[in-house]
Amino acid sequence: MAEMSNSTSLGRQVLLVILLRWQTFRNGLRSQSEKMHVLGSVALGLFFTALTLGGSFAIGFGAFEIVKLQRWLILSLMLWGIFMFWQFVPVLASQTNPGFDGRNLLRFPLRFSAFFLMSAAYGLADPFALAGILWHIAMGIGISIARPDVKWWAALALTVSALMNLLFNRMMFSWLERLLAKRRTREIVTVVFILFFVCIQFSGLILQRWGPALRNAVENSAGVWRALPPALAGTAIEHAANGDSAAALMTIGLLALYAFAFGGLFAFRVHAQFTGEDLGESAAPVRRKTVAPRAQVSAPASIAAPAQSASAASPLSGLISAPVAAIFGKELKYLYRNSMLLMNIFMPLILIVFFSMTASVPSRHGGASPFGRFSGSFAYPGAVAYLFLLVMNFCPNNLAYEGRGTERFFLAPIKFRDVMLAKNLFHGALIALEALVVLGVLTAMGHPPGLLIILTTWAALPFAALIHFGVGNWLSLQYPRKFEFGVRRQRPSGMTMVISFGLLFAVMGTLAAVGAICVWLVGLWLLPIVYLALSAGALAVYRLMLEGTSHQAVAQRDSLLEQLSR
Amino acid sequence: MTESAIVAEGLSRSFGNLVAVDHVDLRVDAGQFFGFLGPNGAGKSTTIRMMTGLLAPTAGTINLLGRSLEENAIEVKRQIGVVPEGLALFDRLTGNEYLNFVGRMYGLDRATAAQRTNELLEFMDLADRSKTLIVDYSHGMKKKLALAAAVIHGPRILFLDEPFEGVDAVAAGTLKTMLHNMTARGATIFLTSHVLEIVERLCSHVAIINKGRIIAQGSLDELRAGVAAAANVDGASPGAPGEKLTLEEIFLAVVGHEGVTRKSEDELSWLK
Repeated sequence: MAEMSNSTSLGRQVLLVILLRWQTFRNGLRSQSEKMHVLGSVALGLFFTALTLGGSFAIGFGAFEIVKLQRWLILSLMLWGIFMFWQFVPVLASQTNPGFDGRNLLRFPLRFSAFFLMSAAYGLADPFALAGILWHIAMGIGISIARPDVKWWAALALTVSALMNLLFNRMMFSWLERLLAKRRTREIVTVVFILFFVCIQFSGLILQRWGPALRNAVENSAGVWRALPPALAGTAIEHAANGDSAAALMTIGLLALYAFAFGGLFAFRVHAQFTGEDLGESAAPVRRKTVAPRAQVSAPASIAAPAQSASAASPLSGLISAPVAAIFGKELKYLYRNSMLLMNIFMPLILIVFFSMTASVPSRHGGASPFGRFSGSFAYPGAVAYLFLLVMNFCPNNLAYEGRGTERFFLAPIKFRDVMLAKNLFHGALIALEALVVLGVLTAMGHPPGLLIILTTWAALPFAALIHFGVGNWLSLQYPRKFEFGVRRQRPSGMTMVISFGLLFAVMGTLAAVGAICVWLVGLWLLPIVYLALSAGALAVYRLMLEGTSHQAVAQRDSLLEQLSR
Repeated sequence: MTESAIVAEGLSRSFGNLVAVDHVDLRVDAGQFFGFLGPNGAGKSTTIRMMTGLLAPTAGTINLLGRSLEENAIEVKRQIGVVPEGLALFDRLTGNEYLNFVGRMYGLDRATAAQRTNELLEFMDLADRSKTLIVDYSHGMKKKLALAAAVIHGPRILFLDEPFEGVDAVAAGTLKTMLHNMTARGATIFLTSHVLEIVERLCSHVAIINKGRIIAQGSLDELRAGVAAAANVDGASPGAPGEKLTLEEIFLAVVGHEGVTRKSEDELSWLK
């Protein structure tokens, strides 16, 4: 008689999935691009580790000083800071956060407990979570050195705090995914994220202007925010340091309750996934129109007519070919269906409103706002540079959203240079449009930049853009990574991130160095001319690189289709 | 003499140590409805991918309509249509947008692309879903859309990789009519399918590939005669006596000769 398979223990199931992930990773290393991705990720990881370790020393030392001086309020604030970093930075820097999609595992007789454990443990694979845990440990060490008598209390409180952070993070992401599964909600949430992102960018300026008022508000509302989960570990350590063990225990218990509640909410979502919920994006069913049955089906009459030549069909004959125009049009459609990219268009308005509002509010100390003076001279190039960074973010992996459509580019009678040209033209048009909008809004708000500033900005823009396009095209073909629409936690190849990072520094460094030398030796008036000369050189380099993309695409065809069309 | 639409000579493709396609020689005349068969992993899709420019051959040459694919890729691609295995769709375009896009990629002017798009959507019974994103299409609808995209520019050769998989019977009938009309007008169709009944009904000529090598090629009658002759030598007839061999029987006989055997009922006895 046939034997039934034995039920597998929880530990064994988890082990099997870890083994599966390891085998997937190891087998992935057979391809050159995956090896380069790992190499790039290691380089980025080292950089991030250095930053995290630096932060750990600062936090450990800070905790030591705070406990020595008994500034408990600041200890709680520090925990809030770690909480905000752990929870919200991954949301904003969504490209570096790994996702857990366990739907493929559901075909196996996997226990819910194993599925839940793996979903939760995935939070630990996030570099921001690892940094948060490390900072909790650093804080614990600092506190223990300052007050050895509370070291066990600190260890317990901070462990529960880290657990609460981990579960809150997983809960938040699981519910975000549920929310973002609907296009409309995703668009609204994206707007909120971007606004939040902008606020964080300018938190330094906010603190500079309204710092004292904010400090009073924080001190006055301490009773409220210290009772919330992120600060509870600090409150517990304060109680322990004051010898009130019962209060310390109760506070830690409350924190554990919060962690349990977050875990419960997370488990609720995981259970929905476990029972087969599919968050795949799908529109509401379209009501079918009543169509009269066809009496006779015949092949379309015009199919047999041969295709016309591409050049004759261009809407902008002599400027761009029909395929380039078609790809440009497709990019435009993909733009307004990709809320993340779409929001980058509205960023200028948000930025300018912020700039203008800050500039129009008089300084607390009286007199003109320093920001007002700033906005008159460097706000325009500053805002354009900022927007440039956001748009260029999409260039080094510009085939990411094509999916299986990538095959179409190889099947169609076009050279790959046309595909890249269309994409570059689209991104270039986007930057130019944004730079114009910023200029228009600044002028309308009464802070028009000087003519020389405008000329300098517009002369530098082609240089930066063309170099980014050239290298971005190369990276897109060399280290492609597939992105799904509506999925936030995606990242380009590690090598792409490293090279893009270096390129950004090189381009901005060149512009800054050349600018400084010109201003120092001759004067600001020389800058537009020098930048134009640089742009002309960049155009020559770009054309060379663009011509090379057709050959590169053919050489990379197998790995491109494997990466993007799978 | 009939003009050859597809000529492949010594076509090979290796992936590391694995030889997926091994010195394949194929000749398909213009206007032929050609079936390309083989068991799983035999090299069918790899061959089609090489013939349509999606994969570079390790060795050999491909000539389509008398021109080398390698040397005249753009010109050749202008004359061919393809429904690849992965369908090559852009998920975030609507059906209407996608067909217009493909038409423009093949150089059709805006008005012609729009007109053909409407005709094809109507023909494929997708007109009422023309403004739905492709991501929300069913598999069968995607297949029909991919087929519409493959013919929008009026290709002289059509490569179809499993075109009827997932398509309902009514739509499949419509598509078959369209493909027959195309061959009647002189187009060449190169089709792979695992559904041998469809191939038998549609195709006049067939090639069978196994383990990367062509093991049989010709008209159905030629293949029948070949199998019958081999059976006479072996003394075992693959079909019922006196009846015409079906393509399935031919296929099993030919592939079976190549060392692929049917498993016995005793194997995997632990299965209920």
